[in-house]
Amino acid sequence: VIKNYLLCSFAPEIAKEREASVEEKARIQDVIRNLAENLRERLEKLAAATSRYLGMPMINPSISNAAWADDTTTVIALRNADLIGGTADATTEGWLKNRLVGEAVGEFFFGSASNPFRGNTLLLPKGWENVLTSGDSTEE
Amino acid sequence: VPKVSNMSLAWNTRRLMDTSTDRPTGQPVEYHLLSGRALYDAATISHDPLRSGTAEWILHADQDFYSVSVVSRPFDALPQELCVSFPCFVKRTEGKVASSVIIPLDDVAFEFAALLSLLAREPITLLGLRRLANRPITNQYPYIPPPQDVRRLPRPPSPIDSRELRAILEGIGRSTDDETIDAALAAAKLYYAGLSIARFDPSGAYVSLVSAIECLAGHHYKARKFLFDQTPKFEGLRPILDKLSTLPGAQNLVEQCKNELMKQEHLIKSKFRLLIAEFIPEDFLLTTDQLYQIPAVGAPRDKAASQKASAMLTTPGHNMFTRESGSLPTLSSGYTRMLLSKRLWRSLKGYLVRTGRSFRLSFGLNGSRIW
Repeated sequence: VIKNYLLCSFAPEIAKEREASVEEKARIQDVIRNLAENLRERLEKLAAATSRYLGMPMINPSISNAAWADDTTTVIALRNADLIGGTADATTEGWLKNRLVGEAVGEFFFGSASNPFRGNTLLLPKGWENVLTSGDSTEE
Repeated sequence: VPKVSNMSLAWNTRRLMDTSTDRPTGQPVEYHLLSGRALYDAATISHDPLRSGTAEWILHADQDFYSVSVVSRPFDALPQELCVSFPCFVKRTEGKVASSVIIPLDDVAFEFAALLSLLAREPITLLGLRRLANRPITNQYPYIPPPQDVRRLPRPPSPIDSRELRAILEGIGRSTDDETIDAALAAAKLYYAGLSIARFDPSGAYVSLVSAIECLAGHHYKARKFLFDQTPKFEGLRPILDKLSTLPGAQNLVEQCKNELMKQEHLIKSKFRLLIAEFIPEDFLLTTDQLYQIPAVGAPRDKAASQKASAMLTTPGHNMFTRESGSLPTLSSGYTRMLLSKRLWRSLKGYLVRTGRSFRLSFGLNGSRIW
C-alpha cells in the first residue's frame, strides 16, 4: 500500500504503466480464452515446458516445436495472436512472447496464487522481444 | 519553524536535479548498507540477474544521482553489503545569533535506506559512511548484529525495479508538496521500524506498521469531509439530536453541535480503510506471499495447526514466531483474529464485505506484508 502510494504520488507515469499492464494482462487472458481448445492446450504445454527453466541462469528459453506444438498452423495461429515468438519458418522452436504474456499465460493456466511466471526475469521484457534476434542479425 | 521533518532526502535530491549553472557541487558520499535478502535489479535483462555481472548494480546512475551497488561477493551471498553513492550538499542555516554548516549525509542515507527497505520488504541496516569527498572513512556506528538464529533464516532474493526506485526519487526531487513527501517518508520510516523490530517485539512492530498506514491515511484524507450521520461512533447520539432538533429554534444549535463533534473526530479508522481500499494492489490478496505463506482469513481451517497455535498462545514465554522444522507455524483464522485488534479486524471485514469477493489473505506479523 505504501509503495503504491509513493508511485501514485511521485511516479504517476509508472503507476499508469502498471495499470496498463494489468489491463493488457486481462486482454491477453481474453485472447487465450477465445482460442480454440487445441491451441489452448498447446499453449499450456509451451508454458509448462518454459516454466521448467525458471530459476536457471538463462533468458528467453526456446522450446522445440516437437515438444509442444502439433503442426505449424498451431505455431502460426499463436504467433498471430501475439502470444509466442518463434523462428521465422515456424517449424523449429517457439517461446512465450514476453514477460507480460508469460504472466498472463501463467495466471490463466496455473491460477493467480501459483503463477510461476509472476515477476519472472526468465522471459524478455515487453518491447525488448527482438533484442536477441536483432543482435544476431546485426552480427550476420 | 517548518513542521516538516523527513525532508533531507528531498532536500538533497532537489539540489541534485537542479540544472542551474550556479548550483553548488555536492560532496561525493559512499555509505554502506547491509541487507538480509539478496537484492537485484528486476528491470535488467540478464541470463542470471542474481549472479552475473549485472547483479553488481541495483540502481545504476551517473555521478550526479543515487547509485546502489553490491560490494560483497558473491553478489547473492547473505548478508549482502551494499553501497549507496550520491553527492551530498552542504546545508547552511543562518540564525540571528549563530549559523551552522552541516552535511546531512546520515539523514539522507537513512531516508534512502527506509525507501529501499520498503521496496525490498527487508530492513536494510545502515553500516555507516565509508568514503567522503573521495577519502576513505571508518566510523564506529553502534550497529548490533541480530542474534545468530535470526540471521540464519533463509530469505528469498528480493527484486528491486530500478526504474521504479529512480522514478520515485526523481518524483520526490521534483515535487513541491512538502507535506506529502513528509507523510510518505514518515510512513516509510515507520514501516522500516516495524520490520526492524518485528522478530524481537511483534507488538511494537504491529503498532509501527499500523501507524505507517494511519500516517498516510491522515495526510491523504486530510481535507475529506465525513458526514455526522454516516459516522458509526455517533449512532447512539443521533436519535437524541434528532429529537432535540424538533424543538423550536434548536435546529441550528443541533447542526452546530454536530459540526463541533465532527471537528474533534480524526476518523482515522475510516481513513485507514479508505486508504487500503484505494491503494491496495489489484492482485495483492489473490497471490501467495513469497516471504510468509501463512493462511489466514478465508483459508481452509486446519484443526491440528489451530490446536498447535492455541497451545503456543497459552505457553508462557513461547516465541510464536520461532521457526520449527524450517517453516513458520500455521495460524488459523481464529488465531489471526486474536492478533488483529478489534478495530483493524472490523476494517478488514468491512473491506471484504464491501468488495463482495472472498479472499485468501496472507497476514504476517513477524516481518512485513501486513496489507
